[in-house]
Amino acid sequence: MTSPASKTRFKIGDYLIVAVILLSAALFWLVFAGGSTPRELVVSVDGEAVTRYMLPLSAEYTLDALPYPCTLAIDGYTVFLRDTSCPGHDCERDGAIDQSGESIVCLPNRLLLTLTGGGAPGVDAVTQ
Amino acid sequence: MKTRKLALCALLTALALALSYAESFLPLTLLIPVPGVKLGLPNLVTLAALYLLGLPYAAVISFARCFLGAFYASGPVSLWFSLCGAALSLLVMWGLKARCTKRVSLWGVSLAGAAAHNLGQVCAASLILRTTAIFTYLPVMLLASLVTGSVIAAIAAPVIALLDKLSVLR
Repeated sequence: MTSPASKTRFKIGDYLIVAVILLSAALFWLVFAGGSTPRELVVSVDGEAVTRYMLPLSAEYTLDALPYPCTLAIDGYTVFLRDTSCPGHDCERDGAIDQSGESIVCLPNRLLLTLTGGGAPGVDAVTQ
Repeated sequence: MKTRKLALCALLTALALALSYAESFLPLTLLIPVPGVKLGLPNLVTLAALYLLGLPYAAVISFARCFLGAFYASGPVSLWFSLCGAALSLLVMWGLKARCTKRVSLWGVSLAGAAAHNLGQVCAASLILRTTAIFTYLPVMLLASLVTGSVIAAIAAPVIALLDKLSVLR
């Protein structure tokens, strides 16, 4: 007796299932990751999240516990590093970040600043 | 349930538990850094049971595996996750196998089962934690299920064909 399982060529329904899974993933991403969660700044040192700041926020913090102290500046939804004492100053040159998913990396300090979540006001694109 | 089938169910449940334990040594979260992402090796047994023995046996094996796994290893909260994932996965796989055999192969059944399992677990987590924030994991878990479902189908296809040929489970 031949089991249906032995016929293992991809059929039209299989492609449909793949498409449904991909579409569902995109839909859930748009609904839950793209806009409904609050914007957050995650400060990680050595790969571990040490502090989180809910945005918007206007503040400056001196990160003097790091090997090369620097200043973390937050202006609304915009985040940047300045007054860094590290040798490369790459993190300063990276400039400011204000979009979810963007990061600032300071390798000498093993510091990673990442913006997560949605929730920021404003527009994603402008059409003319 | 005949004695032979009862013994077979016990054997397959033990195999599913062993596979569940074995996959805890596979560091899949290193590749896909999302909590809860697993290859789903026990689903091999569920798939084989569904194709060769039918839904009642597959359900008994799947739920017995969830209860015993929670009892021996993971605890009561994990039982809720496992049961929701297993129940939804089994329901979807059975529905596709029973209703869409002409259009859906073992690949589609396995892929849909893996996705449904992740969906069930995330729904359970959302109910327990009382937050919808957990659904932010779902897109990655659904994409991961395309990989895990394919791997399970690739292993299950020759295994089921061989067991069917040898009439071991009949």
